[in-house]
Formats: sequence, C-alpha cells, structure tokens
Amino acid sequence: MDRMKESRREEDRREEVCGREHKEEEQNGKGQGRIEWHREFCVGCRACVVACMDQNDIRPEYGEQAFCKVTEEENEGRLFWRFTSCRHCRDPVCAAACPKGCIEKDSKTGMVLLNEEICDGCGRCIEACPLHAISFLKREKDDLSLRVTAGKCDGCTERIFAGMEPACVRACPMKALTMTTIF
Amino acid sequence: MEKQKRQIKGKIPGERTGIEIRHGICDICCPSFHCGLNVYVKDERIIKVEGMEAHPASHGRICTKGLMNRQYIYREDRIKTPLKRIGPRGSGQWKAISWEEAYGEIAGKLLEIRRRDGPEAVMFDSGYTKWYRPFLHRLANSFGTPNYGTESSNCMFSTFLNWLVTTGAAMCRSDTAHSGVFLGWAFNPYYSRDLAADVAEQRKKSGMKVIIVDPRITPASQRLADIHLRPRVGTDGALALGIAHVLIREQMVDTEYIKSYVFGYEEYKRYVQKFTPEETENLTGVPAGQVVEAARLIGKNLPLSICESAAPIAHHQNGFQNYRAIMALSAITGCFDREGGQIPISFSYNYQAAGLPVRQEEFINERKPKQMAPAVGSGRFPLWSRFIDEAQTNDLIRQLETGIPYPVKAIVGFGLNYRIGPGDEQLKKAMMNAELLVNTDLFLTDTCKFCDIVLPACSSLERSELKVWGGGHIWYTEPVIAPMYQSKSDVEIICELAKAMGLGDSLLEAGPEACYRELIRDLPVTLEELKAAKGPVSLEPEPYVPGTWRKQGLKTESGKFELYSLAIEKYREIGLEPLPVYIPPKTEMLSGERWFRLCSSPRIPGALHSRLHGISWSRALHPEPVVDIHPEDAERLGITEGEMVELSTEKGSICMKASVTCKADQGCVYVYHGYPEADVNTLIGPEMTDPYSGFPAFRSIPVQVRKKVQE
Repeated sequence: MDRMKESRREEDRREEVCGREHKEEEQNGKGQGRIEWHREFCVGCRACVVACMDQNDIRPEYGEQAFCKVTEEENEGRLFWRFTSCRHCRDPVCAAACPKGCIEKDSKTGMVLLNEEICDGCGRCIEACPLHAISFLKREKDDLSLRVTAGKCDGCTERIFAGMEPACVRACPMKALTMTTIF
Repeated sequence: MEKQKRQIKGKIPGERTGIEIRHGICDICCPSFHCGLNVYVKDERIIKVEGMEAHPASHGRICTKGLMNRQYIYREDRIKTPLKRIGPRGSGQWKAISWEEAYGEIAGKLLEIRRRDGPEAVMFDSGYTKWYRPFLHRLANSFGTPNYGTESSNCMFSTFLNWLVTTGAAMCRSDTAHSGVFLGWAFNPYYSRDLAADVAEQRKKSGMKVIIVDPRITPASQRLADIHLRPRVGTDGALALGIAHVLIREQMVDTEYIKSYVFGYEEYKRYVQKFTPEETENLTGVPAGQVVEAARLIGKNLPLSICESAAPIAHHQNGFQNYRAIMALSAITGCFDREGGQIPISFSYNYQAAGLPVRQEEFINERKPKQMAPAVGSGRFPLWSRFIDEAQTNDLIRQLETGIPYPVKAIVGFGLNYRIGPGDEQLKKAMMNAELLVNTDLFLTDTCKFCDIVLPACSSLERSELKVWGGGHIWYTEPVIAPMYQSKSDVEIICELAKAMGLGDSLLEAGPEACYRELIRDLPVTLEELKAAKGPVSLEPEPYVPGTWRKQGLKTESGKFELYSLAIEKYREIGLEPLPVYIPPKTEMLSGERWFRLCSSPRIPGALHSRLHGISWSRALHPEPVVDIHPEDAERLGITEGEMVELSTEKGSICMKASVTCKADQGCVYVYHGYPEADVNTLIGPEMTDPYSGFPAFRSIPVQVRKKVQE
C-alpha cells in the first residue's frame, strides 16, 4: 500500500505541474485546447481507451498502445481510477527532446502535435514525457514493411475542426471527460 | 499533410473523405440493450463505431464492449464458408462446402434420425446471441421436437421461473424513477447498464436511499450505497430473510396489502422468526447492526424497488429460493405492482417488454405438436419444465451419457458454446455420443472445432432484424455492410434449413421477411413503413398502470403473490419447499486455511463471456486471466500481486495470476471467466445444481488456493 501511495503522490505531483500551466494559460487567455478528466465521475470502464484505439487504429498485437490509459488504484479499501493522456503542455519537454523537430505546439489549437511522417522512431520523446503519454506505433509502409514512429494524442484535432468531440470524450458514458476549447 | 488526407486519417464523415455514417445495433450483449450504433463506413468497410445519439433507448451511449464492434466483426477466425469435417472430430480437417450441400447433409441426417429415433432425438440448442430465438423455437416445433434449449438454462431464465412461480408474470422491472428506497442486489450497472446507473444516480441526488448488496467493492457500492451489505457468496437468501425478520418485528410491513394480495404470509412469518439479526450475521457475515439499519432504511422510505442482476443470485444451489426470498421483500412492504416498486411485465418480442402486441407466442407455437416426448431435463427439474417451455440444458450431459429416457442423437447449435457450463469437458465427451453435431457461429470457436458441420453466421451489422425496446420503440434494421464471405443471418439459415427439410412450414419457408410481417400483423405499422423509416419508430403504446394486474388477480393458483407457492407444493415429495427457504451453500462448511469460496464470473468492463477475449483491444485491457484475492488472504498464503496461483478442486486445477485487491472479501476468490487458457468451469462438476431451476452453482464452490510452485 505504501508503494501505491508513493506512486500516487508522484503522479499527483506531475499532474499538478501540468495543471498549473494550464490554469496560467487560461488566465492569460492564451489559445489552448485540452481534454479534461473529472475524477469524481470516472468508474474505470475504459470506454475512452477503446474509443481511442478505434479512432487511431491501434493494434495492440503489434505492441501499440492507446494514446490514453486508465489505471486502477486502491487506498484504504476504496477503488480509484486515473486517466492519463497527453496534457498538451505549454512548454512540451517531448518537443524539446526531439532531435528532428517533429513535435510542435499548434498555435491555433494549443495541441501538441507529432508529425509521424518525419518521425524516425528514435524514442527520445517517449523517454522525456513525465506522464508516459507517448508510445511507439508500428505502421505498414506501402511495401508492407513496418515503420516505427512515435505516436501520441492529437486531441482528435480533425474531429474538433469538424465540430465533433474527441473520440474518448464522445465515448465516456459517465461524462467524466470533457473538451475545453478556447480557440 | 493536405486537408483531405488529414480528414481521412481523422475519420471525418463527408463527401470529401468518402466516409459515411450508417446506423445499426450492437448485438454483443443481451437483448435488453442492443444499443444503437453510428457506424463509420469507407469503401464498404467499417472504420469506426460510436453510440447513436438518436437512439430512443441508448441515447448515444455504448459501453466498452460495444466500442469493440469493429474488431469483433473483423476477427480473423470468422468462418468464411460452410464447413464439413473430413478428418476425425476435432482434428481441424475441414472441407469448404456450398450452402446447398450443407443444408442437404444436415436435412438428410436429421430426417433420418427423426424417422428412426423420433423427433425428440434432435436438439436445437441456442447459445449467444439470442436475437433469432423465436425462429429457432418455431423450427424445433415444426420439426416436432420438445428439445429446444438455450444457454438461458444458465442465465436469465432463473428469474423468469421465479416470477412465474411466485406471481404468474414472466418478469418485473424496478420502477426506480418513483422509489423512495432502492435495493440494488448484485447491482453494478457501471460496466454494462449505464442507463440504469444514470437513473439511480439522479434519483439518489433527489433523496432516494440506496442499499447495495454485493460481497465485492464495485463502482456501485462506492458511488450509490448509503449502506453496503457484503454477505458471503451464496448466502443472499438468509440476508433477505433477516431483513424481513426486522421489517416484521418492527411492524414495518403493509398488513392491508398483505391481506389482499399476498398468499402464505403467516407460514412465511413463522419461517423468518429464526432469522434474527444475530443469526443472520452468523449465516451471512453481515453485521447484525447493518441488517437492522438496512431494514429500517427500507421501512421508513417506501416505496421500495429492487434491481438485481440475475446470474449472481441464481448461480448457487439455493439460488432459486434466495431470489424468492429477496423478492418477498417487495410483497411484504406492499411494493409489488405498485408505483415505485416492482412492476410486472410481459414480453413483446425477444425478451423485450415494449408494450406492443407482437405475435411471438403464436409464431412460436403455431406448429407445435399436441403430443411430444418430455424435454431434456424435465425428469430431474420438473418445476422448470412446468413453467419454462424449453429443455433444461444442464441435464444434457446426463441424458447424452445414459440415453435415459431416450438418446439424443443430433445437436444443431446456434452460437452453442460447450464451455458455458460446469463440467464442460464432460459435456464435450458426452456430445461425442451424438451422430450429428452442427454449430452456427461467426467464429470457429472451440465448440465449432469438434462439430461435423459448421455454418457461418453474420453479425448484427451485416443483417436486417426486427428489434423492439421498452416504451414501444421498434426498428427494422438495415445491413450496414454486406455479409462477409459467405456468411448469412441466423434467421435466414433457420428458414432455409426448414425448407431443405421439407417440414411443410410454409411461413418459415417463405423467409424472414414473411415471418416478420406475420409477427407484426397486429401493430399499427407495416414492415414496408418500418423499412422506409430507416431508423427506430416510436409507436407510443398505452403505458401500464401499476396495480392493474394485482387487482385483476395474478396468474397464480391463489391469484396472489405467493410467498407460499402452491405450484411448488406439488413437488414436496421430491424435496422442494413452497416457502423461500434458506439452505447454506457448501462453501459455508469449509474449514482449514487453504479452503476458499470460489466465485466464478464477476464482470470486467471489456469482456462478455468468452466473446471478446479473442480480440486484441479487449486483451489490451485484460491481458490475462486473473483471480482476485483479498490482501490479507494473499499475505497469509505468501502470494504477491502478479504471482501465479493454483486453484484446485476434486475436479481439476487451473493456474492464473493473482490480483491482490480489496474488491474481494476475505475468504473468497473471484475468477474472471471465459478464458480458454484458464477455464474455471473445469473446476466444477455438472452435478452441483439448484434442484428447483437446474441452474449450476458456479459461484459458491469450495476451492483450495495455493501459490504455484515453479517446477
């Protein structure tokens, strides 16, 4: 249990840092879109995770992972869940870590976007992200050989432009996920 | 990336991308839901699904499982053509054959068996899903066999049997929207019944009291419960009788109502005298104080509605009576057939109470022979056979093995899964005695693998079907995509098989659409109108006025809610008791530190039965079979999280990883089911059944638990 509490504190701390940045941005009125998770509504059903896999054609059999995850924790006889995905940080450490400049914070939406077309899968961003929100994708090239790149949540930017909610938000039966758009 | 390419990658519907949203229903779980789907289709291939906002029952929601439809439908082991076995059974040697050949082979053999051994030697057996069942039942009747059976012999029919015996109605719904207190017994809707969760949460906010009864900690126990009672598995009946004891002792029962509408109250009252709170604590593990508190919360906040989950209560040797003891609370508090309580319902079509006069009964029974042999299970489970017009399939092993009272020579399955019941390997062996084994499924399942002929069925998104929902909603769906490979809809297969056998059933022979026209003949809408609507249609039937049935007199012998069942009284000589008596499960007699109660089949959000374990999205959520064990039990046995644990009974043993969790109560281990690599049903013998319903005692099995020693 101590181990669990310790990891909880660590995760809380990371989230707090990201959350503070967002608050500051909101106060400054800077363009920022993000997916908010409301822990009091979450029941750990992981509909969000499956919706993410469906939206992004994630193939776990190839070692790919959804761009969000839900972990279960217990404390003093109660269950808790935690949703984690990219927080679209103000100064993304993943972007700083990328030697090829594949990751940029989109000025219009505030989403941190990864250009899979130029990514060569070096994995530096994956190591850099404190939330472990980036993972490898293995996608088929035209010649059917597999090409490894990093992959991450793009906030379903295209869906938002089309007036739709991100896949995970749309899928959550508890409405524990919401989309904040300030652009 | 250019815009069009980005939008295609983002799966944005529209002309630019060529992506279209079509509507269908999910058929992964049971007919009570069948939620509406928005299906994203590009180049006639499904690329994404989400909930359908305009759906009158599911309102845009779908669960974790429903979101897996795309992978489910495109599973690699879809059966592509009819298959005929060419090697020994189970050898995996198949020959692809045409539908005509398949029908010819099956029809020839079935007719030969009927001539030689009588129609009862053929069994039509339905597993999951259930959507085609009225058609299959009609086929069995047309063929002349009483042996139409379903996996509901293990699942929801225990509740039907209960309500039929006790009230004459097939089922009740809980009118939570008007309740003052809600008793959720094994109720955890968050993983599969979101809408029920929604109603309960909203009502709780406006003051409804909630009692959750569940040995486990669940989202429902955490989010809803004012009181969470945690009885040991299988002791539900004692807890319900204990609550009744307090309600009676403290004069919180509705004596006027009881006088008019309840039969056998005095005998029942005498029986519950011994279930004092202290005795109830001994029997169930629920502290006496909590029993009193729960009873008072009920008594002071009527009306009471009870919402249960059928299987967890039924899957014990005393499951039928435990269920009756729970529902007795509705009668003694005067809440049966009353606003805010239990409202009796009758089914319109395929287990759905839509309030619509669909001619299902007539359709099924039109060609039923006047005389038939007794169905499988009727000798051993006469109460079941008296009320349920189906074989009790849990007796199939015995009849296949012994041939008593007559041999079963052929089994024609639709979604049949031999692993669903206890003693599954014994059933498989017994099935080898049959001359013909046919199964119809989407996938080449473990059952299909040893059949003689296998037929490819299609999914709900590849077919048309008639579907109704509560509130009078009806939808004749259109296929979202064409059936894959050579697969066909189950009802098409049933109709064509009837034709191939030349049973003289002109309606089945005329095909599914003709059958649907007949089924909805009395509705104010035609099949053509339903087709043209291209979505759900609401027929707005007159809502039922609570109290109507009760005041007319219930369809029981006494005309009342029978706490003392006159129907069961006739079976006293074989040991059945008319009162909802309590008999402790075998797990209550355990001693020794390695003995545990084994409860099979709590639910996980991303799987149903074995149906989704075969796809990678589900496996990503639940990669391996695990057993839940309480932290103190784990510590005592020296087991840590993720270590391999061996569970053994006299029948066998399985190994799985330990999940050390407070979800489990002490002394009980919980095994998630349906994993072929750790099949919990091999630990359970087929003889542990409930004598009233014939249901297997999946959830109260004595088991030894130890850390797996690496060899």
